[in-house]
Amino acid sequence: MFCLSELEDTVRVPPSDLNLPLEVAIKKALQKLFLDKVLSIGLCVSIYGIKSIEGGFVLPGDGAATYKVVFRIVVFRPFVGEVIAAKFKESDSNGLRLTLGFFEDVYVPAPLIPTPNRCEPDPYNRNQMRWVWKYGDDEFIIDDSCQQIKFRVENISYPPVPTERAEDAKPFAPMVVTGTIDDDGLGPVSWWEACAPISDAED
Amino acid sequence: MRGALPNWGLTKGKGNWFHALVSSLASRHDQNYIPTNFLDHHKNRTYLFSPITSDKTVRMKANAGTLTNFEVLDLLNSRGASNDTTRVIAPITTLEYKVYDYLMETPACTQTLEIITNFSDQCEDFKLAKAEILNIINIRPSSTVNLASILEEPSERGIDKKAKEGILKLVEALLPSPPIVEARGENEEEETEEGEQLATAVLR
Repeated sequence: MFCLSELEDTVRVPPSDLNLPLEVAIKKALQKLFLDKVLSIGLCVSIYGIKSIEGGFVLPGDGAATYKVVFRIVVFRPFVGEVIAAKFKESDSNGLRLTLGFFEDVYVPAPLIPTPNRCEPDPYNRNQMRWVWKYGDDEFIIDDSCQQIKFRVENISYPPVPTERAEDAKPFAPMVVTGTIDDDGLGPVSWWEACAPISDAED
Repeated sequence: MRGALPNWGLTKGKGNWFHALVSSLASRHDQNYIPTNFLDHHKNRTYLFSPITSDKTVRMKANAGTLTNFEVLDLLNSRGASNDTTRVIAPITTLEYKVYDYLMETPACTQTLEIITNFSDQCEDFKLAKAEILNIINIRPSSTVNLASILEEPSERGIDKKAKEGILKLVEALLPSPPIVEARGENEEEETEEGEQLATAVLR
């Protein structure tokens, strides 16, 4: 789920931070620049450590010192095929949306929900739809009561920043993880708690 | 000039062994999200524009090692993250705390470095892909059905039922069981019971 990435960048330490020890000031500037931002490699979670600092020149007309820093960051970037446990956030007619606490743009589109299924308006929440999986005679509901939902990553996309947006459009998501719950062992954990293999010949 | 500082994150010796193991992913699950027209295979570096500030070029090596959930949790713990209610003292940002909260509910919170290196050593016999070992450590499957979503094409690779049971036995023996995530309803009941007990104690 997490990777280390090594980056090299020029960092500007504002004059107000120049009384701090150099490493602390640079780390502060790096955190402001990279933390909680999505780069092409994923969502930056934490600064792991600084490998080298060079420079420290003050450019003309500027009171700040500029350093060239090589450092490593911890990036959230799941790989395709990874199984992740998430919580239910909301669902609509297009599919489900799951959340990981720190990352909320995990979508399970309708084709990746196990079939046969149906979508019905949620009796508790007027705006939401509820997905129900019908297996044999039993019906399994996917909603807020599921404690943990496991999904497998199918795809990660980084949609480009939109230039125009409608008024009520959802906030822009720079990184979208598409997942599937259509397989053995995936979906709400409570579905699989008491189950037996259907046939031994499946192996 | 200045090297990496040991008081931030893990020291060089600790954890790097496992980084080296998992970073050389030989399986099909390779970390190739970066569009290949940006990759310069010759120099092993990608030059690109970061979406935050488009006029800046940041040179980088995108994958310097994959981390298990446990290693990230260990990193946050070593910086002072904890479960206390006042979270202002430790130098940890809000996002890092959200990651910490998430990881504390996964099996990673009961693992140690020895456990996962031991486990990955013993997995050698089963010829699993590195990505699958990583998945197993992060998820800790407790039954065949949980394992099924992790293994890819087991029948084609010769992993039969016996091998699956062997893997599960290894998981059971080596990896500690995950924390129990309590249902929200139970928590509320417990609180009201305690409240009543306290009230009766005070009355006495």
